[in-house]
Amino acid sequence: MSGAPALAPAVSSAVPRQHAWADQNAKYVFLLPAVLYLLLLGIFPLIFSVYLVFSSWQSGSGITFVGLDNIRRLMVDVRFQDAVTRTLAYVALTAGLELAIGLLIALALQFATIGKSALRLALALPMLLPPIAISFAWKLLFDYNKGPVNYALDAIGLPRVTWLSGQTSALVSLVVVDIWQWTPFIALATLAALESLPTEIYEAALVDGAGLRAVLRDITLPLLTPYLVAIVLLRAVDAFKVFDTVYVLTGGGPGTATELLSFYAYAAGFRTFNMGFTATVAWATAILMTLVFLLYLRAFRRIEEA
Amino acid sequence: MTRSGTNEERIAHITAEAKRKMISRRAVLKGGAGAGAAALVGGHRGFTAASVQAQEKPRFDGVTLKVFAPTGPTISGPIKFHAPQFQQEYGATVETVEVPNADLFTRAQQAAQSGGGDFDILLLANTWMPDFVNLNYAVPLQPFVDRDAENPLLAWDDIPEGIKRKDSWAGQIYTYIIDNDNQTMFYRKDILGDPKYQEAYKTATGKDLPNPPQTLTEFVDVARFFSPNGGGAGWSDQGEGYGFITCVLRGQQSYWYSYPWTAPYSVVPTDKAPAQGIYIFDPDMNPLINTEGYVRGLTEFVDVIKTAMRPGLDADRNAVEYDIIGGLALMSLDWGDTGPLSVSDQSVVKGKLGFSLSPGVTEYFDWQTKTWVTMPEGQIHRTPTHAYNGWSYYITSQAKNPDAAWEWIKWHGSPQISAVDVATPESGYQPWRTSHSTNLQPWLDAGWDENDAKAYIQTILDATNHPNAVIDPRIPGAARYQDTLELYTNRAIAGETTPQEAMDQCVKDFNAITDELGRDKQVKAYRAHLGM
Repeated sequence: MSGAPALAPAVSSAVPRQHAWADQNAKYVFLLPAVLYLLLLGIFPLIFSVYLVFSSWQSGSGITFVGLDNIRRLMVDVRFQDAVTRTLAYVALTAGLELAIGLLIALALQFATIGKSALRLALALPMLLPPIAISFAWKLLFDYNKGPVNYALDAIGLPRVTWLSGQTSALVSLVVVDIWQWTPFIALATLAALESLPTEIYEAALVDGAGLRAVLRDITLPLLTPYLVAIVLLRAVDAFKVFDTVYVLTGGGPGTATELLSFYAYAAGFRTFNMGFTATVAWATAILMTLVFLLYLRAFRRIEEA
Repeated sequence: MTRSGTNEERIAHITAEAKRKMISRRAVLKGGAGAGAAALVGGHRGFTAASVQAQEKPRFDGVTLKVFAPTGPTISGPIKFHAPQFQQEYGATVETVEVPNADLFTRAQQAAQSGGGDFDILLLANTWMPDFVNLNYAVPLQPFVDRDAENPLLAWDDIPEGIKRKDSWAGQIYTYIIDNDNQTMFYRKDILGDPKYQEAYKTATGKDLPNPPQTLTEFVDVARFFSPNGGGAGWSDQGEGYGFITCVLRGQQSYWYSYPWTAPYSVVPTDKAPAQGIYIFDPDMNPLINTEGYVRGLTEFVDVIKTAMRPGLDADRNAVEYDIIGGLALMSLDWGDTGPLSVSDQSVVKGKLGFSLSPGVTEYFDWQTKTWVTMPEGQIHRTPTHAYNGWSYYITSQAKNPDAAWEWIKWHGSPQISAVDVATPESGYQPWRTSHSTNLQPWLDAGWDENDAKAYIQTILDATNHPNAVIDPRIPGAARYQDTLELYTNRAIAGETTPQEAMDQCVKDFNAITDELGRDKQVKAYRAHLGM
């Protein structure tokens, strides 16, 4: 008991110091889980995938450094070049058509006076469904011998189409499925953008006697363009990475007719456990996407400036 | 046993343990297994539950065995079906971890490379064996087999040499096949035996209608005759019938369906070759897929798809089975699953299907001399193909209790239990034991006619034990070669390239893979596969 009073001042001075230290550093402690999470699940896989680009990691053996072998192999791979061309065509077709149709739907919906909410909900349904389930449904629809689509063609006297096994029609089928599922996204996003446009300009235009076409051409579209650029960019990024529908509907076939980049990475590397090459394709895809979209944004900026 | 140490150390420990227990186990078996062993000597007819119960039955209470298996009822279903009984008799719980078929190899490799997953047993393709052996992930089963050679559950003498050959690699047993994958012919014996069609065929071609076709040439002629543009059109009472059905979708095992077409023309009979079943590669790993023989087979395959198969080029593996049992296709060259399906509720062809070895050829291309060899008059060169080789059990070096894992494998593959699996339409396993042909009760219980069952089983076993049987190559990177061959086969089927161009390009890719993986290493592995 006798020592207690002597200790009291020391304790009282140490406590504020500890508090100060805790106050100063607590933020790091609180940040630590997030940093660890980021390092483990974000940064480490990223660095590891870069390491794999320069490595061979095959079935039955460990990881060995191979320098630029994977990159060299990719550069001369005709299948990869074809997949790039095909993917660009697919992205241009889907994003372009979805933009056109989506814009029309959004403009039509803007004028809807009754049931607008129900229409929005109905429109959103396709994109709420999992792509894998949609793909299986379309596989049945497109079946050459028993599918309802060919049945309908029969009924109106048109020849059947090899939807999933023709050299061109298979890619067209994938585009159709994409349009069906993702046009609503563009329509709803565009509708939201339309509804956010300032009404004063329209009122002024009406007072000045502008017609519907002039309003659309000179007011709506120019005001909408920045939104559309962002919406199309989002859609195109997604279309670039399409995998589920290819996997289920065509398996990349017939031959390589529907082998898009993501599927190519899966088929040429992942499925056979050639992980170094898979990582190389993945990075090549990421770099390619970045380049394409930089060019896209630059082109848009030029148009805007002009 | 703990899971510490390298895979190599774990395998050494497991092997030593198995050998150590061999002596004591044999001493018990000598006394207890007399009845079972005697039964086996007599053609396995006397195998009974009592003889099994006479054996030492170890208990593994509290042990959980994790089995890595493909998704779906046909392959992993039998495991789930039998697991409760095993738990009752042996105490161990058997759990399946299911993975989609297309990703099976990658996921299994990930587990093998990382040691993750904690799988005790894998149920995988036999063709991938070297990729798991080389990682010291697949434990040699040889010590277990040696230990239990006289055990009636293992019934080693009941397993045909053709199966043992597939279970072995580089002189050791590494896998335990519970499904016999080989390709045979399924045909409508009622239609081919119908006098009306026999007469029409004779009138149209001047030849007798073969029942069944013996050569690929006959097969093509018959298939075309029974397609909508042929004289036998309208044979199906289920809709528009075609003479042939095969799988053509990429990623759906379509290249395996080309084996029965390319092998007969390109595989040299065993007595005239350095080893049995040299196919796809010569013993020095030089590809044989662009030889005249292989390309001729592939060309005929592509042609028959165009001329005698339902249009649309969208038939997958299920379509092959269901067009046959649905009465829409006359013939197929397929794995045996169609047999049990033909007695299922969905079948309209019960009792109407015939079973036979795949057709042969009257001339084949000898890759050694680069000449065509004509078979003597009346002789047909057949090369039954073992695509995939069969679903096989592997014990992993991660197994906590290898003895329990082996006990499950042995029990599940025992004559009594396996007899149920191979007969039922619910399973995708084909007969692989000799006793499957004598123990017919499970077949009768599953709804088979006795003679049909006998014909079906005998055909499968004949393909297994055939002197020219071709086993799917077991080499490191087999999945890469398979995927590449599938791509180019599919390009030929789709008409993107000619069969010759497709195979020439495939040869380049094959050689690139071989060089990348190390030619010497690959040659050594391939020769181990061939038993050279």
